[in-house]
Amino acid sequence: MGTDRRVDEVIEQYYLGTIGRREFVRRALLLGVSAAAIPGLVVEFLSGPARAQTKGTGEVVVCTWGGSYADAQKKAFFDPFEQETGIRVRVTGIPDVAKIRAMVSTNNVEWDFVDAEGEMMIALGHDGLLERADYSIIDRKDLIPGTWSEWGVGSVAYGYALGWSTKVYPPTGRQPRTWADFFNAKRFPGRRAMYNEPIPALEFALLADGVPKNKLYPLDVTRAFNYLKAHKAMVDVWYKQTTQIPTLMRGQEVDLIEGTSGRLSDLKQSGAPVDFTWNQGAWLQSYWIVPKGAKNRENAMKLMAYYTRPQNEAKFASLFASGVPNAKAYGLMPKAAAALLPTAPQNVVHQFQVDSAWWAANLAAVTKQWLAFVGS
Amino acid sequence: MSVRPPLLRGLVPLVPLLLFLTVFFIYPVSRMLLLGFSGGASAFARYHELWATGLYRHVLAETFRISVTVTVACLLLGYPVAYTLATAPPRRANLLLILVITPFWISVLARSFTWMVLLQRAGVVNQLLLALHVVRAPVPLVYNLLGVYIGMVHILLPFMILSLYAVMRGIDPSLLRAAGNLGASEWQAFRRVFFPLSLPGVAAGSLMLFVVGLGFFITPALLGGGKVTTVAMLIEAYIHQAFDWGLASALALVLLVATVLVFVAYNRVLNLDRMFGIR
Repeated sequence: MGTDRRVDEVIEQYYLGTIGRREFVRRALLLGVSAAAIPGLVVEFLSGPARAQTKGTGEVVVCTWGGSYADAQKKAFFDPFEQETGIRVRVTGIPDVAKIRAMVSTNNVEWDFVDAEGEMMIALGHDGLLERADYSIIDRKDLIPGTWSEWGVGSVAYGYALGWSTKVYPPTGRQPRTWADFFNAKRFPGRRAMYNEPIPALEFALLADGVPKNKLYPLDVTRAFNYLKAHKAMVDVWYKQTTQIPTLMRGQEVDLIEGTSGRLSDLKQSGAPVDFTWNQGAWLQSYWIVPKGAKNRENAMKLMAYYTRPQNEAKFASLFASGVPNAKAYGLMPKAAAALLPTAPQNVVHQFQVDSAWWAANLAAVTKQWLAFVGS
Repeated sequence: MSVRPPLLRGLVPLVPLLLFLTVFFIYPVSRMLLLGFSGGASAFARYHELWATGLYRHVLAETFRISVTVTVACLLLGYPVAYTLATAPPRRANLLLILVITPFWISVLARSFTWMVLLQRAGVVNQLLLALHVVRAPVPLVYNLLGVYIGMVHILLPFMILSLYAVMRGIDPSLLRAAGNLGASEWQAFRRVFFPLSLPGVAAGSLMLFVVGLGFFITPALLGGGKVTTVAMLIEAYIHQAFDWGLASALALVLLVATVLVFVAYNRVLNLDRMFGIR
């Protein structure tokens, strides 16, 4: 391309909107770029090998998790993608494996690009319900290992953590730090909410029961359910959608919550009286997948290629704290933003990674037990 | 002596509707119910599985209990409203009728969400109770059985009112005047003339509410906080979380059969046919 790395960085900052046009011109001149070449810099930047392939027509239907998470994705990825390629991005729904199975089997695939949890992807891929990711147009050389698979590139690394209301448990007093604390009604009287899903409730129950973090898998399902049954009366709300977390915390409906670290972090950043701990948190990788027979498969692959760009990932992480797949993105973020991510080195050391392969093999059986547990 | 038209010719106007129902309702529902008999070791494997897990018996009993309670509550709350509607002068009655019908314009989902916001700990209802010093701490009004009752009664009440009103309107007011002429007090006239004549409305309204209440899904799902599980919620969970459509279908058939049995028993006990004047 003929431009050196520092000029690249300046162009990226201008492209992201971090610096204005005047500042961009000033810095480019300082780095020795000739005045005549400056207008062409951005065009050249945009028309690099991977970028040239993304122009297209039509639309792509994205299915993601809603709320401020989807808003951040829209700002950081979908809107710039639409501007650059002319492909319209329609954002919808909540990802749902049962729906994807129904769609593919009836050949009526409504979603082209789905933000799926790890075990969802493994199960669907195993059953032949996904399109393989097209790595001829997707640039994966900078992606962190474990953040991409044959079915798609990573979306975000997200986590589950212990959150609490700082009105009920201010920093001056006792604050919960472990899952044993979460289930300890004597030391921490108050109302609790948990996510109505076995992942990662079983892991947290085992941790509360004393199982060490590195000995969790394969999960002792019986032990986990026994612990949960013994403490079930403590849980006041079992919420079904993670979009309910802000409602529950802001409405002071509960004092302690098992929630996604992204939404808890978002709440804390926006000034709500909420805090959370990384200690004993769980993190998982989610992946973008394309259901088999998707109507806009090519556009979905182009969006997947766009998703690996470090500058957009950095912008997304600053809007909604989640780990992102491209290693270069971490260097582009301000240090304070990087510290909020579940996969930041200082945070990930306190957590454990959920074993998606174990869950892909056991989710069906465990779910029936989970339904019996919650419904009884 | 009147000549009755041949039976078949009388049914001809119904044929388009029957065709529509067969293609878009009977056929898909039958296929769905057949799912409950497939995929297992034997045709009844799914039903064995349901019976073996005490879960479905517990959930079925809870669903019935909720439905009965909501029906009774709607009856107690709705009867006076229907009585007012039926005995009010026409213009006021029309206005009151509009007020009763207006909630139908708002979807069940929107109303259920609204209840969540109103009834939560920091919500308007609790704030009012605290300000009036009726309670000292916020009362848990939602994410529990009470929240489900409040939401379901709110949604089903207009149905009960309209059922009762439809029958009460047909009660001849001159009967009540005649009772007064014969020496009955207002209360006696109500108890011995009006109320017995309104019973068909009570029976019809209760039955309808009970059957509709059995199928409720959104309201208990949102307002129950995961602590209340109805049969419809369990069916949804089997489809969405457990991906076991056979089990969901078996449970749906169980609910259908239980409802039909209730209806038959209801009919026997209350002799609905005679009540509605069918000979």
